[in-house]
Amino acid sequence: MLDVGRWTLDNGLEKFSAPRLMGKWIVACRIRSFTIFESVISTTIISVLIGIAAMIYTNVIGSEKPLGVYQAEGTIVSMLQDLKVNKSFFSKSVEQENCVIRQEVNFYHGNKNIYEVIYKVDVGTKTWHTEKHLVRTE
Amino acid sequence: MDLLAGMAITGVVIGAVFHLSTTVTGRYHALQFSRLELNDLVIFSATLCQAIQVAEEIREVPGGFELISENTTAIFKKKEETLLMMTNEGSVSALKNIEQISLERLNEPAGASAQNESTPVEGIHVSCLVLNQHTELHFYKEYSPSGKINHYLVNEFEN
Repeated sequence: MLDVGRWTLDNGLEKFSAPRLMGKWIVACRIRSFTIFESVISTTIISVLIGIAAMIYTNVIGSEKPLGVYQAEGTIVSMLQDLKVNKSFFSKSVEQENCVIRQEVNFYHGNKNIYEVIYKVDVGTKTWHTEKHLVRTE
Repeated sequence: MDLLAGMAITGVVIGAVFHLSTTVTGRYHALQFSRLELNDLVIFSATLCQAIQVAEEIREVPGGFELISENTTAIFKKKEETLLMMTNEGSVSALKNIEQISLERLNEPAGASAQNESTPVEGIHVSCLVLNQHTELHFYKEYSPSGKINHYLVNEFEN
């Protein structure tokens, strides 16, 4: 019978191919062969682990506040000063690069002596920054 | 043949792992760099905002501005592309990559030429480069209405 993956050298020593060596090692280590059920379970566990790692990675990368939000915060200071100086108490929306700055002006709890000015910075559908100020109407 | 196949598979696996680790390390360093730059910006903004609120008056000095309060004085000066904060305790670099600092005096529109050098500063506009993008920071000192009127009257008498 042909013994595949096994040769006898001139000096009498035996030489084995890599798969044959691995087979011998597996036999020596007493590693059982996997059933399909075990393979499915191991594949599932590995997939879950990779999924968790990908989720953590995406969240870490996405947690960074965009630079546009910091720029918008600077613009809000300027807008608030303009509102106070020019008494321009009205709601408006300003687009700046990839951000939208929304200025909402309302009376504070119905008190007509105080305005409540709310600024919101949106990037896409997410609101990244909100700040609220109270300004006297006089 | 088996040896060659083994070498090829091992090479592909090692290459994939190396590429993955290089990509992740690169992203990590980029994230760390941007985080540090943004931290500098936020710390500077918070520090200056707090200092302006505490200060009684802001005056213009050559190359910058001075925050005057009862016991302490802080001078912010632009030196090359760095904004230095000089206090009694020494000077520190407040923010790097500064492009321009413009000041808005009390009762005067922004960019108007100064009628009186002693006029207090109401607004400070700092433009700088953050992550290679042009960024504007604005700071305003809220003087009391009586202070504004008194200053206007003083100027009226002087003129």
